[in-house]
Amino acid sequence: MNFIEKVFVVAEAYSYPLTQRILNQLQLKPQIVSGTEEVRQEIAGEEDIIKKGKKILVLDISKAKFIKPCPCTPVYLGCGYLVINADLNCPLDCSYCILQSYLDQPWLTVFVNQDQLAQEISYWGHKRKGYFRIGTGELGDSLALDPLTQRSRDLCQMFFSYPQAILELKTKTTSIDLILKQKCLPNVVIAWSLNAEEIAHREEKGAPPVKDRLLAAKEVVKKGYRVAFHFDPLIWYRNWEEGYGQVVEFLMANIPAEKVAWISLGALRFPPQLKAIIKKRFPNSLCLTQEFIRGLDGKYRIFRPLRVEMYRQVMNFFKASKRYQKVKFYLCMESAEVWNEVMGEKKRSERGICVFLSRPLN
Amino acid sequence: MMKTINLSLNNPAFQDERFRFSYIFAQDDLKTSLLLSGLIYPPWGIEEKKGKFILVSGWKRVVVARELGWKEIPFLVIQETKPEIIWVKLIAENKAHRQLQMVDKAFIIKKMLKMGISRERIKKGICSLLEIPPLVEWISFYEHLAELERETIKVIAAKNLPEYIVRLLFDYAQEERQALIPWLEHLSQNKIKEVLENLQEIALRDQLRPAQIISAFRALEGDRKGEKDLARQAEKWREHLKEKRFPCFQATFLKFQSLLKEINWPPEIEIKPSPFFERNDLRVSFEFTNENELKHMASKLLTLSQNKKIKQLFFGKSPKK
Repeated sequence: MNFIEKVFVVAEAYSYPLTQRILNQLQLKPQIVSGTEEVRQEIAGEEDIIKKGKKILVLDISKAKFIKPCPCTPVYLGCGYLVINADLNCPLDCSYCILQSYLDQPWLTVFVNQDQLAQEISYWGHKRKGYFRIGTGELGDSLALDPLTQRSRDLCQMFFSYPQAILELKTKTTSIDLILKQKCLPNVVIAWSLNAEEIAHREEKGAPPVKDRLLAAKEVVKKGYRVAFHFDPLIWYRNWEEGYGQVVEFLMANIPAEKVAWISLGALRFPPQLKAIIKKRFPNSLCLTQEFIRGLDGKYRIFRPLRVEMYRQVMNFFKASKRYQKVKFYLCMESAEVWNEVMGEKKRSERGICVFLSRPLN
Repeated sequence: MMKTINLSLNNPAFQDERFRFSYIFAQDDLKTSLLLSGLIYPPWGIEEKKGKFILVSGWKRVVVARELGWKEIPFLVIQETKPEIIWVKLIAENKAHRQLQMVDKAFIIKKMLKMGISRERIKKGICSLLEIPPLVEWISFYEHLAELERETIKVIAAKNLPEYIVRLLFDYAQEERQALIPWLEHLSQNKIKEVLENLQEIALRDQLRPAQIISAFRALEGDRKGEKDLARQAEKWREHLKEKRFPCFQATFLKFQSLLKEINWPPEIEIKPSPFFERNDLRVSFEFTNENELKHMASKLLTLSQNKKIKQLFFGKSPKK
């Protein structure tokens, strides 16, 4: 964690065990502050506050609910996912990252009041009798700060008593040491965001190569975990078929299909305000060259026939393997029309997608 | 303490441009005004040394007075020597009777920097007066703007282009801007933005320089340097870029239009696909004033629905199983 240059601890958060654990790991003297306004002052004059924010860690307590239904996007189909907002922001610097415009606090925040988090997990665990999916990878990478926070271990303990809750830890990193050290739970799925190697190299600054991610996935599979993969965002570029094909091939060669809980596909999309940020921070990003239209939710989306073509092609790569034909695939934030075009299935409801993805194969 | 003197328009005071920031302005109205009422508000300046005057405010009036062939004008001398204070007065005076344009601000900052006033001083003392964010990055933006070639600055001023579009112009090389300006002059703000963005994004996607794309368009269009109708050419250029930037969407749209022609879709029945073909639904609308007209329209629709080609209007298709 030597990328962290400064640690701020909001006074209220100081006495929490997680705060003490993190401070013991870091060789930095924390600055105790009464609120995050003081952190904002720290970065105020910076030319690239997003970049600077990735080097600042703030330990705080969450006053909002940790667990919320995934907001998905208006008009398009959701999947009934629940998100845990335990950490905000991410040390990786992906050009397309929505958090650049979504979060008004550019620093890394770790919420330390895990007692409240445990209570909320207990609430949902008792409330939902059927299988449901829940994960931390919405507003940050689930494992990027894990060597420091050991959050994955705490979460696994919290989910132990709720086998119907499928906890997904979603990452682009290879930080799996803690995962490998702990006892594998059947309701924990370790997931990786994947992309074509060229896109990863060009657009996912700070993230390891895709092959390394898949080799990490192979390790956790050996340990007994189920894994999931998210081809998201799919980005159109000159050799996209070859690029994505190679990744799928490597994935299928290394990960047994029966250990794959689900695979999602999602084409690049983002709210219009992100474009100016990408242009400023990543002027050569391929995200600026996509054939975008304004989607029904107002976001920029790749023109429908192109994204359908990409979805179908990636699906076809998987269909080459009989074993992978049984894997559950889904589309993230897509319309019923696109679902039908790609999957050849009748229009699904959000509830239908939720049940389809959550229930075990056997 | 102030005094008014008469100065010849040949006086060196009117050649020293250190305080001049108005370079681009419409002269005609001012000419009419001067001819009608004379010089009501004399230009003002300072006396740097005994008998050595420098014009601070009134450059437009001086330029037009010269155009009118006047020999001498009244000149108000104020007693002030500190450049920063003179600038504050100059800006305040201009703001009292007009809104400063982005280009004015750019030249003010450029001239202040040239006089040795630091960025820090400008940030603290001048930015708020100019109504710009007090950040070094913004000062650099205006400095950059003032360094652009005159033709580009003219378009920025004439079209009152916002900061975002000016920054887009910065991204182009000087010769590229010069090639673009004759077209941009004939486009609205929104279209200028569209052209500059599309050109930049095509260049990035296709790994070309914008100059190559401009040359290719010129070659396609033939040598039309003498073409008078630049407005038409500008529109063509815009359309060309749109097709290049969104080839799949443009092809789909044209296919949809040509299909309507092929099946003789009647113009009195409006048909619209979902925005950007994002959904499968199509909407038709027509007007009728009585039962017979309704029947007539409905029968037209019925006939259309029996055309075999109508299926091609429906956009999404499920994959082959």
